[in-house]
Amino acid sequence: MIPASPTDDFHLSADQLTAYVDRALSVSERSSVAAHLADCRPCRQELAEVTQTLRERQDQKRRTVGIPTAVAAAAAILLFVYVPSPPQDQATSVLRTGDEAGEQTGVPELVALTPASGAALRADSVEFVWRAAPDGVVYRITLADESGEIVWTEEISDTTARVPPEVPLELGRSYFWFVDALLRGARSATTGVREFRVQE
Amino acid sequence: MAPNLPQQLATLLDATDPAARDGAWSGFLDQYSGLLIHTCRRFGGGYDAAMDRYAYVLEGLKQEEFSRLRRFNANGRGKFSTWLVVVSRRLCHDYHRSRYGRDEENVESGSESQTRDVRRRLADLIAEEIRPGTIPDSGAGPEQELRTADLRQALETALATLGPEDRLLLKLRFEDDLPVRRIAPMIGFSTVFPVYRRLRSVLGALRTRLEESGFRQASP
Repeated sequence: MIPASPTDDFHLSADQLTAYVDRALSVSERSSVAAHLADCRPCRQELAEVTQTLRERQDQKRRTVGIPTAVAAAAAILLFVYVPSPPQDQATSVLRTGDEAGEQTGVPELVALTPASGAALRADSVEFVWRAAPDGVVYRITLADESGEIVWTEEISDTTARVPPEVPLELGRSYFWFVDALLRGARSATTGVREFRVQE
Repeated sequence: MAPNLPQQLATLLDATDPAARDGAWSGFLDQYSGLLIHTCRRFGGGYDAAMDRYAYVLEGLKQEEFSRLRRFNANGRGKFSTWLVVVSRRLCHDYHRSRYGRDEENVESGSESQTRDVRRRLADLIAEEIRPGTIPDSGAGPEQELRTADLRQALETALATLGPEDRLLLKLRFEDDLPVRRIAPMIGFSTVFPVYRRLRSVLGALRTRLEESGFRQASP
């Protein structure tokens, strides 16, 4: 049972915590467990640790599963080397070799260099840098705020970009950015979404 | 036996003779040792400490003919892997207490001033949502201290009107100081965006209630 008060010396049972994590509770049960969690720091810590443990384990398994995929992709690329093909396909294969996620989803991925995901930066020192895709491409950089609204987007041919001064970055806020490369042959590659925070 | 137990667990719990039980235990470990070791390693300390905990967890799971594992209720209210992490972590806590005493609880229960600091910080964060400004320091005059106390009281009252899931969200973000990317899976979102939207909405509701109580700026 959920204790009537957080001052009682009770915590969530293993079954309750499991069902909360796996979203297997009814609305009223979930609300009751959330009320306990809001007032019980040890149970919140357990929730955080259990969630993080499962997430990391999933990531580990995904990486393990990704290895055969990567080997298969490498084999495909080796095969590809011996088969004459148009230049735009070569461009895509170069991008694919660098990224496991891209190989899994079939979407080529650009390599973002800075800022590192989760970095804390001064508003006037935010500079985006990514690795060049092969010739003949245009990049589109997009910056979104915490609510997901796009605050700035621009198409450029360089591999660096700065937020223009007319786009103010608020202190203490997190922002999300990604770059799409528009390749020849109606193909595209992406860095994936990255986050940074603005600090003093 | 419940029909939807994971196969390795069902085999283990159904095994009657010692040989079958040993084989089933090996099968169970083939399936779950990675998860158990990861759980033990995340608990902290180096490799040896993690392996000591792992051995303790395995003993705990085997005890009394797998009595702990028999408590898993396969009624569709959660996955076995999630339940196993929860139970293993509790065994890790038991092991830690058996070796070092109950220091974790002592730290938590004796932290009234820490709790006050967190509440103050949350109050300040909400106040900043009204209008960014300087938070008065403790050296302010008695009248200002009284008004600050009023602001905090109004905030407590406003917080009490929130639903449990919203209060939990604020606690995770501002009291536990967890990043939104960690909070999202904890409260059932797959991306950070809905969490930011929810936070913004909850803070907006708090701001409205504070304004209704006559507080329109950070400085009382």
